[in-house]
Amino acid sequence: MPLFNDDSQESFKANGSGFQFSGININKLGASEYTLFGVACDVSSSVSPFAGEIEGCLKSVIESCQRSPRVDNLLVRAITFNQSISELHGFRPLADCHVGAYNGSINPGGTTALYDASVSLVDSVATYGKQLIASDYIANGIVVIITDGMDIGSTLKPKQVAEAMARAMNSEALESLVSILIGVNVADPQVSGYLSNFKTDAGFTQYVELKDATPKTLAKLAAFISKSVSSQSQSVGSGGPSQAITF
Amino acid sequence: MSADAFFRMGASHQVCQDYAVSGTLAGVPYAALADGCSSSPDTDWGARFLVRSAQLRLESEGRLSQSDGDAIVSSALAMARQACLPNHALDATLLVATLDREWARVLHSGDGVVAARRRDGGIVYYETSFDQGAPYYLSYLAHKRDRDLYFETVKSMTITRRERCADKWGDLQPEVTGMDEARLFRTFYFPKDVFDVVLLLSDGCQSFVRSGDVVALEDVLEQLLAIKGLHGEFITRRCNAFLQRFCAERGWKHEDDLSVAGLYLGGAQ
Repeated sequence: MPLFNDDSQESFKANGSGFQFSGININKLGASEYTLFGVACDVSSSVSPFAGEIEGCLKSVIESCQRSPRVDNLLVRAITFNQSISELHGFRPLADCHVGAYNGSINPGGTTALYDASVSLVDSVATYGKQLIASDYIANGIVVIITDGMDIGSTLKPKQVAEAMARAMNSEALESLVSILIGVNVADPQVSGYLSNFKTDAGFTQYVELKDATPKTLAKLAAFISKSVSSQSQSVGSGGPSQAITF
Repeated sequence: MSADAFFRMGASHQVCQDYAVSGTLAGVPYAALADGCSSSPDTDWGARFLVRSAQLRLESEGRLSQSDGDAIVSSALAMARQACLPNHALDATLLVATLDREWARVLHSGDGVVAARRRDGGIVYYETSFDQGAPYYLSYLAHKRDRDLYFETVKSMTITRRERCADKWGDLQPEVTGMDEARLFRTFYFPKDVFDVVLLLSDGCQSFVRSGDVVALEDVLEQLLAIKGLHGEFITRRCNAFLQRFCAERGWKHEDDLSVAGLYLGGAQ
């Protein structure tokens, strides 16, 4: 169920994977440059103990980015994933994302289609970015995938995530793409190794591992994500990606 | 209806002496730019003062016409004096476009280009140049001695018109006139039922080079008028795409400062 109900959203089909996604009609975008921020939150059963903290983290990121001087140049798409992908909302101006609408958005249950969610998010950023660039906008992107564990149930493989990353970096799609994989509550070394390998195999820019999911840790995560988004937004038009922020 | 403006420093400059703005004042959509003379001092300030002065005049009067030239210069001179800058800081061209009910009206002093896109896709432009490459500046209105010296030296102004219909450029149509003061702050009209976009350009649009060869003005205008979406920052988007992609791929560089400001006149009536 989408969080926002408005007429400005259109449907798109992602190049490459064919995933459907939505985004604001480009003719409603008045600025000359945009950073496309895609965020995916794991809502598999295992995140139940800290679902509230993840939701709080998401809301905190949105709120923080809304205070950025670059708020008018940010578009955000948010999805959740378990065994299937749900779009909370398509690309919409950050200023139009009312934080209260995210209440109750994290509802855990099911398995973890991590690879499918990654491809859906990256391909949507690349496809929408390509539409923007074809209309003379300058665009770059940042995707953040938050998960607590290993993939179960995806139809795609890490190799396809890497292919999606490569599609996004094609010169006709985005000026640059920053991709951050975040492991939350990673206490098991096996999960740690798995996610580190996934980061490498899929070609993520950065992997951040959190040993727990306490409110304090996720508040710190929210600040890190906001800074990363802000940094990438400031680099749009420069021709290259922002410098990686240290967690 | 939209208004937008863009300016960027040229490859051979260290300070940008072009300035461009757009918006709505007194309910009137407008776009304005000024191009400071690179051999006069502090014209980066003067260009801004002239544009600011034109904005204030539009805001107080609700419209601008040729007769506002004196008032615009007087106000700009006062700003320059307040900033302890010489009078010659105002040696700059000035172009202002405003949107009326039936047309876009452009006031033009100095050199530079006014271009417009027809609703059928055609293009027309008016390029103004002066004898000895010395543009007439509104600042001369304020100083009789400078004005007299200028008119002793510069004897003619040329406005060259050229039109593109059905992808083919017609002949250049230069009109050479003596230095008639009435035409030195002249007006162009672009009816809304014929045109959908009007652009003001500093002469930086004629400074594009590729491997030392000058790029034709027509080639630059065709790119700048190939606007993809006529809302919001429509000129900024087009200029960014033109400079960062089209020009970068072809090795085109603009040596002089470049400013582009303009109006979208709305859908067909």
